[in-house]
Amino acid sequence: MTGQFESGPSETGPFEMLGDDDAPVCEDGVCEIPEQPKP
Amino acid sequence: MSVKVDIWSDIACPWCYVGKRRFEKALAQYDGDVEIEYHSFELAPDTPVDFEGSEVDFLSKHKGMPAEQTRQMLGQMTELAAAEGLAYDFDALLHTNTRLAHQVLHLAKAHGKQIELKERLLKAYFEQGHHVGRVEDLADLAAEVGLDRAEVVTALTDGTYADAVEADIDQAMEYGIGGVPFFVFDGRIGVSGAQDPSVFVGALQQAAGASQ
Repeated sequence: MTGQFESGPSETGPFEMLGDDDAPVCEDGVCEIPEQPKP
Repeated sequence: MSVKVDIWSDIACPWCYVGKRRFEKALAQYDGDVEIEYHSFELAPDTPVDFEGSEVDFLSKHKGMPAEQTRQMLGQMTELAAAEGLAYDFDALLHTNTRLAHQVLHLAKAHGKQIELKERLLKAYFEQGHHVGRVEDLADLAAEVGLDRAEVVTALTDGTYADAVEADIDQAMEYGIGGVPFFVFDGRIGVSGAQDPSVFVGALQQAAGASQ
């Protein structure tokens, strides 16, 4: 759950969001790990 | 004019340390003034201080994955961290509750030592297998960055900064922050996750441009 920021980097919530929507985060004790390491 | 960067993160957060390194790369490429403040975020507040089991045990329980799959995931995270110059050691890692660590980070902020202590705690947790959930262990680590050990013990025992930790967590909820690391530039530009340094540079430049 990323609440009001879930819909991406455009004008969302109180902030203007920048960057990749898929950048890794840790959430609820679990961290997203990409399938393959980025070069 | 200086750009204020507020960062919500946890200690027990592998992407927070990686994100910190990527943000630092951006800072090295940016020639303006930056003021950084870390804010508390607890990814697993129900974790006991003395978790009995390995990181594999903890994540297997949380994700419901087989232990072998969890080991592979941690191996991949270790490789990703190594690419940022970090030597994660999940075999040595002592999983714990980070609430007291956040309290001591607030004390460190009051003494202008928050950045140093944040780095020390992350390194202690991910690379050195130190316990970062108990008062005495935290006091030792805080003393290493120049904080008064006795003051740390008293503050943690008395819960001096417990409300400050709660306030940070409440602020994150108010903003809708569900995952960390989460960066806010000048209170109006948000960057979620361990982004490429170029994203942070862009956010710094955009924030600085708007504040001139």
